[in-house]
Amino acid sequence: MDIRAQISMVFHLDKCIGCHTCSVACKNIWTDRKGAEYMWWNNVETKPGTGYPTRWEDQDIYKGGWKKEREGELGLRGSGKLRGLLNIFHNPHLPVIDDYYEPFTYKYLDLIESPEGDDQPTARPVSLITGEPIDIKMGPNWDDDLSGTPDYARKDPNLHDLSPAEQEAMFQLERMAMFYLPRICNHCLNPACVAACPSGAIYKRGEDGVVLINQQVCRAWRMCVTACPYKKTYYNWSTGKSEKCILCYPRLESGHAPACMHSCVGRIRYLGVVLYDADEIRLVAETEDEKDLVARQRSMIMDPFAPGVIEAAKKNGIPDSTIQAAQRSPVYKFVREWGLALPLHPEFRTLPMLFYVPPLLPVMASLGASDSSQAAKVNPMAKVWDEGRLYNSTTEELWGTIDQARFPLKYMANLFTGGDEEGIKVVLKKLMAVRIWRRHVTVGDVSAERAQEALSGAGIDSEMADAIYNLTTLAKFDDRFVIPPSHREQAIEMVEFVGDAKGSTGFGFKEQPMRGL
Amino acid sequence: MKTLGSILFLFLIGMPTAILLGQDVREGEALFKTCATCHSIGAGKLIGPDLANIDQRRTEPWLIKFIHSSQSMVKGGDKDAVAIFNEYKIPMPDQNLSDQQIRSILAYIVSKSPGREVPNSEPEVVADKKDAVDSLSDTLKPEPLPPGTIAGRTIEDATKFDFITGGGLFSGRLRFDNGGPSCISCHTVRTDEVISGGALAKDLTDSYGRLSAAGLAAFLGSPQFPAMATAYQDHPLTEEEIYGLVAFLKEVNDNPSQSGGNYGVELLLGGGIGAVLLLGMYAGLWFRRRKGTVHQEIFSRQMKSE
Repeated sequence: MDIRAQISMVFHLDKCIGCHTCSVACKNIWTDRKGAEYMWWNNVETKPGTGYPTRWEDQDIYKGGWKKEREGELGLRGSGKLRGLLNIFHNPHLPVIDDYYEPFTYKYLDLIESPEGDDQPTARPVSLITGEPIDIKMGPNWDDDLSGTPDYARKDPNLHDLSPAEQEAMFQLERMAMFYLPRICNHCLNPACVAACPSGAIYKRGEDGVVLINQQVCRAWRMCVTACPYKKTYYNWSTGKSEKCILCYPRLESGHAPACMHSCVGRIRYLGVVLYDADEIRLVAETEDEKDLVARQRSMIMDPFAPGVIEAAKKNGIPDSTIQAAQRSPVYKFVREWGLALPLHPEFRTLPMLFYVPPLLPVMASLGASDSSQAAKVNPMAKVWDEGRLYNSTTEELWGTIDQARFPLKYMANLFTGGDEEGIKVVLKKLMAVRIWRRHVTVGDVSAERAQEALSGAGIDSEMADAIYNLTTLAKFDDRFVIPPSHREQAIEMVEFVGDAKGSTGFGFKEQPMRGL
Repeated sequence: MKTLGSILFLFLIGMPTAILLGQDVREGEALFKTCATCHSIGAGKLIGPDLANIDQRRTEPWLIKFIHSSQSMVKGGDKDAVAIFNEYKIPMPDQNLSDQQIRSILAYIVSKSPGREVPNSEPEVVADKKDAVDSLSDTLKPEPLPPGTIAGRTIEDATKFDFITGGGLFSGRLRFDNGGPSCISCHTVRTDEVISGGALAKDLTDSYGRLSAAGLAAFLGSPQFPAMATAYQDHPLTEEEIYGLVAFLKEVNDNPSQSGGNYGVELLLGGGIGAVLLLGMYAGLWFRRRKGTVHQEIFSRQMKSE
């Protein structure tokens, strides 16, 4: 058992309102620079949709991530020993700038500095790359809220296993639904970008697992851009180095939440440390059946209360404060204890450590039976409920609506479980059960038996349901972000002998003062 | 008193003349060190002609003009200048000297020309003492060396070691003691011993044949062409180095390599085929590149402002 610590995240998609505040917070801090204008280390996508860069999930186009080779071993889809050597000076699968979008601004000064004339002055768009006036052709989130559109939603790569009839049903005007998918770097346990870098510039930090690109070592091969199946490394055309989300490690080290998480309006983001068994990485990543990946990855995350795990963690030099943080970690609860959070596209086999609580659609609601004229308009899947309500997603047929959800389970399974519909169903059942339970507690129009029935059907008890409810809806800053102290006072001893600095603190001088006059 | 007066008179009249004459010759002697690289006075041809009694063969204005810029006279079609250039093949470098300085040099040459030595204009010293000094220096003077002697050895004594040393110095494998640039930076020789060198200056394969050991040694001791003069101004070659280089150049002159030097058509063809192969390979790789963008369908529908 090789226990290591990883700072891991959970995004609760039911709470995301798609406001892009996270993206803007990140952009303002990190990528508002020359060469980085087109980068969105954090972006929010509408699903179904094509995302950013467009169709990033389609590895037939971009050749990212791992795939099983002969003899069951893993190999990079886009490079590898021989293929990497052949392509080293010429990487054929790179996204082009138009796959992202050409970044632009407007000549706002023209609005106020133009001489008086017959026409209203306009602010022409100019490219942030060339500085020349351009026609804006694409933006980073131009599929925003455009579910059902042929250009975006219907080209979603996750529709690949859905029959045409299912797809058609998804995009009927009355049934159309969507949710938001905020994405940052997953800080994977088996990162393809690290494996693909010919210069060895990318590394996973030992103390917290943050994946970073050393800007001094990067030699612009751009193999990481291809290798990352999430397209979360970006090439800076001005510095000639690749860049990616750094999980705001300067903020983490001083106890602050990353900017995207701190600024999140819906408070959908959770961050905490988990302990995992590094010996398992290879075995789990090489799992034969894609559908087993989620369960096996979950099993890698170790119980931070188990004495054996604590002992092994201490032996690996993990400080007590980190173990304590792991015991309070909201991520451990969501992922391991409650089994609610799922990795995005586990089939890329990078073992991403950003987990998502899938959205429970449709939103549970009810419609008064007194307004029976509505009954005819209600979607067939809504049931007339004998207790006087029409739109029933609750108790009459407990799980009927999950199977008939507006999003086919297959679609959600393609996103979060590598195609395992059962895996997604279990999670949705739990989410539904918590709602039914809380409705029983707070509104009281659901009977106790039905509520209990829902809970036991989902395999949870009322205590756990309340805990889920608390962390989902009432969690305070310190509940959502349990950041382990970074012990920088110890970390510095790895790179320099601190005894050298003894006695040198205090005033610093730019020029040594002269004694005397 | 009369005697004293006449001595004083002589002193007053004679002194300036003597000083003037002496100064001219002394200045000329100093300046002639530059010329001595290529020219002798009465000791035969070196790189350039023997200058003994030059004043009887050419007029002073002609000489001044030639020393200022020999090549412009050759180009101008001066008969004598063309004849000299054709005989010696090496253009005489332009000398940045004033007319007065040139006259000083000419005065010095005349003063040294065989049979025309002017009596020593230095103030008389005690005859006995001078003789003593002369005889002393005579006994101390080494045996007069035969022409073509460098660093105390004739070039015929050169061993394989000298040749290898010279090759090393030429190619830059060995450094010059005073830090001068190696010959290969600008010159090339056709030999198998060193790789081909620079094309900035003359091919030195037959330099030994043209200049002989004495000429080469004199030239290397004090290079006269502007680029070389500047390059070696503060980094003179040592006698041993010159000996090695001359030995090397002699060997190269005697046994020039038959191969190499002229690659001609083969090089051109090889380069062409290589370029086609490389470009073909690049094209092969390029064709596997993703073409265009995933947005192409949307872009082609969009309206353009122009």
